Amino acid sequence: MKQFLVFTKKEFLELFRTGKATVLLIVFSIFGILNPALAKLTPWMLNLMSETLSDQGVTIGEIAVNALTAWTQYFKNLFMEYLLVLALFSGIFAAEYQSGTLVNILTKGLPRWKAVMSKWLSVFASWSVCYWLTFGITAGYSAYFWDNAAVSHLGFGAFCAYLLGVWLLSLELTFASRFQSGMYALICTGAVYAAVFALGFLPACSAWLPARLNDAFSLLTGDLLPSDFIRSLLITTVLSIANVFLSVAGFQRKQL
Amino acid sequence: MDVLELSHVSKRFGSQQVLADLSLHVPEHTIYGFIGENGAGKTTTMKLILGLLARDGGEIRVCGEPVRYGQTRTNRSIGYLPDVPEFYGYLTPAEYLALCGGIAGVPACVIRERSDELLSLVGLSSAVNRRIGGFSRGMKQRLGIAQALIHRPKLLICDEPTSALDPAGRKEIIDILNRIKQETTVLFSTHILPDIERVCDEIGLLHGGVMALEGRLEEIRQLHAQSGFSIEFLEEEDAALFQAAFPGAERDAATRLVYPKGTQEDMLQAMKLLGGLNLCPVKMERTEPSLESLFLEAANA
Repeated sequence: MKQFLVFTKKEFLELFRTGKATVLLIVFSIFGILNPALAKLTPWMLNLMSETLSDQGVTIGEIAVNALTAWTQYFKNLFMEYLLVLALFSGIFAAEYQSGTLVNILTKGLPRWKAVMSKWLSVFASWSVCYWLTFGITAGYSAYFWDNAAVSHLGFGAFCAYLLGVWLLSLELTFASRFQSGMYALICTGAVYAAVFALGFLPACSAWLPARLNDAFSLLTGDLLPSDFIRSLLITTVLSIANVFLSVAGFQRKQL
Repeated sequence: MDVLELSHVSKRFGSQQVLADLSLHVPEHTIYGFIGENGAGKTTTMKLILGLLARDGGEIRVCGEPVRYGQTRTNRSIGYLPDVPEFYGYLTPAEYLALCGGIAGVPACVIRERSDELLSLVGLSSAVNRRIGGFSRGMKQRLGIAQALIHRPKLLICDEPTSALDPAGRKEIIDILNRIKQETTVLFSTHILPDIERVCDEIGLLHGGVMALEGRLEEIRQLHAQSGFSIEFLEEEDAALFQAAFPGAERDAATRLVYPKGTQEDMLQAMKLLGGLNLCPVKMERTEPSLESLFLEAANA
């Protein structure tokens, strides 16, 4: 346990001292502020443009903005959030493989699975903190300006989107533990996601795939119900846990 | 007792056979010089000992325990200094040693004391609070030795620790290795032969994937001794005159004659002849085979 704690401490020190934590906290805070801000500013911006638009024959009526507008923006920004964390952590193994820094540590007797688990912990802690920070900021502002009661199943919807991020990161770490390059890990993760997304168009399997979690916004509008996501949530959880084992197995056989 | 034993170890990368049938034994408290030209397989051998690479055949034992690829308990007894040690640049030397000590299972109270002791041994006490990212190559090499010794290993493996250093840096590393000889056994790979001569008790010469030459340095010298002698003159004409009168010499300089196969009797005869010819040499000495000549002899065999 001591070995795990010592190496995990190093992972977190790395996050802070290399500036990754600062970048993540700033960007995810901006995402959180941007969602309600854009919703709040939409009527004002359209009002500013209304004269120009009316000259072109477009008439703008009364714009109704509520919490759902902010949450629409929140779910639209998720893709960027996934991409940012995936890009930032794609080199988590590659950087160590290329520089050889893990050699000293492993030859001191650190079991390989502990090294992988420490990296998992730092990545998922980062994702969890950042994701729920954005959620918290958006929820706080939305509650202040409007009323979050206007959207249904908000917490559940947000959890679905969070779990999709967990699965994507688990997929990336599985590839990252095997490849010498972070770029390969990122590309392979994108390819698997694209394949799963494409499979999601098949009605027979759409409810079972992680890609279903992309539709979490429909929970807020009431178009879909939590029961429509249960199978996908279970499968995504199982796949994410399987990825933990795969990444350990991949790293276990890695020649350094 | 042998701290390290390799028996009939083989390793292949694709079509290239790097190690064919390598066997070596390193007794306790010796500094073992592992010699070989670039690409001979020294680093591969070390990585096999550390379980970082999978071997194709043979057996490796550290302190009597077999080495397993991937996850090997034998690494508890080993300290490893890679050829170009890389560290987390955002840590300070003390933090890095605390990380290594913690992983090696050294109690926290001992780590601090041991870190101070090692940083002082390698001359990094003044840089204790600086981040490693700003260290020179020599400083990193010295920190590499400190991290390798943090858990008082029975075997220290150094992969070409002096190759990338200037003469001052090389001397520092050699001096450190000499100082730690009492507490640990050292396997030291290099292709810089003077370093081996300065520090090693035993040597093994890796060539063509097998051990071409192995044993105590002095014994090897005696076994391969072609005890010749050399005579150095002040004037070139004197050298030419003597060479004509006493054939069998090689001129390795205008005024220097070397008799590589000259025996003691030949040397006495040469002395008499010098007197007879009324020649006074600047220097006359028996020559011992250099490590370089042994290296070339074994490599070309």
